[in-house]
Amino acid sequence: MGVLDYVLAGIVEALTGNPALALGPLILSWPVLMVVSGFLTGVLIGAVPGLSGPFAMAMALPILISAFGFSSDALLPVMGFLVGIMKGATLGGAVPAILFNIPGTPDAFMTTLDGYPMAQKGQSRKALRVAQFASVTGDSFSDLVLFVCAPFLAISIELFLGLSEKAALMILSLSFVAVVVGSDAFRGLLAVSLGLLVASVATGADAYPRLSLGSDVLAAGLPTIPVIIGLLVVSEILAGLAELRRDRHKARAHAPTPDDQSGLSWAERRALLPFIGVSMSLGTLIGALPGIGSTLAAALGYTAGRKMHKGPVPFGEGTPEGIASCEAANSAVSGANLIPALSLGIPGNISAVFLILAATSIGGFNPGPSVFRFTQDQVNPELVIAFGLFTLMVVANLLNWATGARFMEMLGGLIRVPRHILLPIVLLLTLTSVYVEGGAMMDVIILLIFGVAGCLMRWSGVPILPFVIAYILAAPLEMTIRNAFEASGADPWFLFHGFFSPACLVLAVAIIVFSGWLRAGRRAA
Amino acid sequence: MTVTTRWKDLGLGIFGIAAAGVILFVWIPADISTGVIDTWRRVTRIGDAMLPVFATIGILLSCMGIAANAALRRPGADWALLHAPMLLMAGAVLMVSLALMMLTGPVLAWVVMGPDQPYRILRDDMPWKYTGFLIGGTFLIAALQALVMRRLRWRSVGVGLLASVLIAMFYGLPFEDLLLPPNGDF
Repeated sequence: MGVLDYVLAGIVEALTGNPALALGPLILSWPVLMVVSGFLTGVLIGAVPGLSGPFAMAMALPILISAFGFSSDALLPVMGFLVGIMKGATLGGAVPAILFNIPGTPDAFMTTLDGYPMAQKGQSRKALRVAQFASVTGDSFSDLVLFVCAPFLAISIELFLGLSEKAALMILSLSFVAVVVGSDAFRGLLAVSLGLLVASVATGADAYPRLSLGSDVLAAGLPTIPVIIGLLVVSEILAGLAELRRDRHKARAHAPTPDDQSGLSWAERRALLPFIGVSMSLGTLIGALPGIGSTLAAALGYTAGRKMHKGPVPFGEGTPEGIASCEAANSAVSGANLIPALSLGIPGNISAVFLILAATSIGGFNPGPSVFRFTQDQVNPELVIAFGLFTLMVVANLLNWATGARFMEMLGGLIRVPRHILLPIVLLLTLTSVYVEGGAMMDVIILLIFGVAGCLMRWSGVPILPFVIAYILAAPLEMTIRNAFEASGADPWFLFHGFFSPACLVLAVAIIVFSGWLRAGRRAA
Repeated sequence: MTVTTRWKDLGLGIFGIAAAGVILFVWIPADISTGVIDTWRRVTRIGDAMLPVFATIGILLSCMGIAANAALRRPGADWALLHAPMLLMAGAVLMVSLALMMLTGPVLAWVVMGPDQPYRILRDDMPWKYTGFLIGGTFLIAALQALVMRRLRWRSVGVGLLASVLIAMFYGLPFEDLLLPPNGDF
C-alpha cells in the first residue's frame, strides 16, 4: 500500500468502517457519531467552571471501554470521543471566562482579561464569536502541523534512531517534563521518580511480581485507570470541595450583563488574523514540546498580541484582539501536543495521556514510531487507525467551524450551576465509572488512595502531570532499555555510544541541575 | 521564603531521603528476585531491580536538592493549604457512602427475605440492584454538599437522589450486565 492508500483507508475506516446507522447509501459511523458526541460534551464540560476536559475524559474512558469492549473496532469510536472532548473543552472554557469572569479551564484565564470587560460592555456575543473563531483557527492549524509532522518525525526516528537512542530520548523527555511542569525542578524530578517507582509495582520480566509486598492485591498489578483518575480527578474534586468550604461565595456565579447581540463581521475577522497567526504559531510550537501546556501558550500569545496591538481599546480593557491572541494560542496546543504522543509514544499533556491510555487499554494501537510504518506488502492496521484518528480530528474541526459559536451561546444559563452541587455528582459518577469498568471494589479503593496521594502532592507543591507521564512511559522505557542492553551484547556503556544518546543524557541531567539551582537562585534574588 | 515553608521543604527533603534509603536498602533487596543486572545461564540481561533502583535514586537526588535549597534558604515551590479537617471529613463521608452502597442491599434482603436467601443470587435484580447505590449515592452527594455549605438542606438530598437515579439509569438501562458499585461486593 502506498501513502495515499493508507490515507484513504484511514478516511474510509473513520467515516464508514463501523456503521451505527445506515439510511440507504448514507452511513453514519460510530467514530463520527462519537466524535460529535464528544465535541458537544467537551464544550458543555469546558463551559462549567470547576470541570475540564480531563475530568470528562476520565469519566468517559471507563464508560466507553465498558460500552465498546476491547476489540480493534472500539479504537476509533473511543479515541474519537476523547478527541471530541479535548477540542470541545478548549472551546467551552472561554464561555464562563467571558460571561462571568470565571475561567472554565485554567488556560482560559487570559481570556477573562478582555472577554469579561467586553461582556460588561454588552458585547458578550461578539466576544464569544471572537473566541470561537480564534480557537477553531488555531486548532485547525495545529492539527495540520500534527498531520504533517507526526508521520515525518516518526519515520525519521525509525530510520535514524536505534534502541539506545530511543531510550535516551525518553529519559530526556521525562527530565524536560520534570523541569517545565510546576515551579520547582527538584519537585518535578521527585514526581517523575515516584511515577516510575509506582509503575514498577508488580511488573517486570521475572515470574515474581516485584515490589508486591507479598500481597495478592498488589501482585495483580495496580490498575492504570484508577491510579490516573485518582491522581488527576479525585484529588482535584477533593481540593475543590475544600476550597469551596473555605470560600463559600465562590460556589455561586453571578448573572451576565444584557447583550447588544452584535456579531463578528468578515472585516473584523480579517483584522484578527495577524494576531491569530502569531498566537497559533506560538501555541503549536509550545504544544509540540511535552509537558509545557496551554496556560503558558495563552500567556505568550497574549503578550505577543499586546506588543502588536495598536487599536483604540488597549489590551485588558475589552479588545477582541486580546481574546483572539490567547484563544488561538491555547487551542493550537491541543493538536500539536499529540505530535510527541503519536510519533514517540510520549504523552505531552493530560489529554494525550488519556488517548494513550485508551489505545493501550483496548489494544491493537501502540502510539510510537512503529505506527507510521508505511509497509508496502501488507497492511499496517495501526497506520490506518492513525489516519482514521486524523480524519476524526478534521470532523471535529468542521463541526467546530459550523456549530461552535451557536453552541457556546446556548450555554450561558447552564453554567450557573454551582460547583458545590456539581463536584459531588462528578465524584459519584467517577466512582461508578471506575467500578463498572474494572468490576472490583479494589479499583475504587485504589482510586481513593491515589486521590488522597494527589491531594498530598498538591499540598506539597509536587506536580501531578510528570508523575502521570512517567507512570505511562515506565513500561515502554524499561522495555526499550532491556532490548537495547541485549542488542548491545550486554555492554554496560550501551547508552553512551555515538553522539545522540550521550547528548540526550547529558542534556537531561543538565536541565534538571541547572534549572533547579537557577530557578531557586532567581526567586531568592 | 517563609520560615514555615523552609521547615516544610526541609521536612519533605529529609522524609524523602529517609524513604529512599528504606526503599533502596530494605524494600528492593527483599522484594525483587533479580538485581539491576542479572546473569542466568550465561545470559546477561537487565534485572527487575533496574527501574525501581533508578527511580529511587531519582527520589533520593530530588529530595537532596529540595533539602539543600531549604538549608540554603533558596525558595522552592509554594505549599498549598492542606484543608486536613475537610479532607478527613470527606474521607469519612466516602467510607460511609461506600459502606451504604455495599451493605444496604444485603441488609434489606436479610430483613425482607430472611437469612437463608443468598444475596449473590439477588444482587443483579430489582430492587436490590439499585437500593445500595441510590442510598449511598444520595448520602455521598448530600453530605459533601452539606460539608461545603456547612448545613444540610433537603434540597441537597433531593439533588443527590436525582443525580443517583440518573447515574443508575445511565448505566442500568443500556448495559444490563453491569453492576453498580459495590452492591454486596465483599
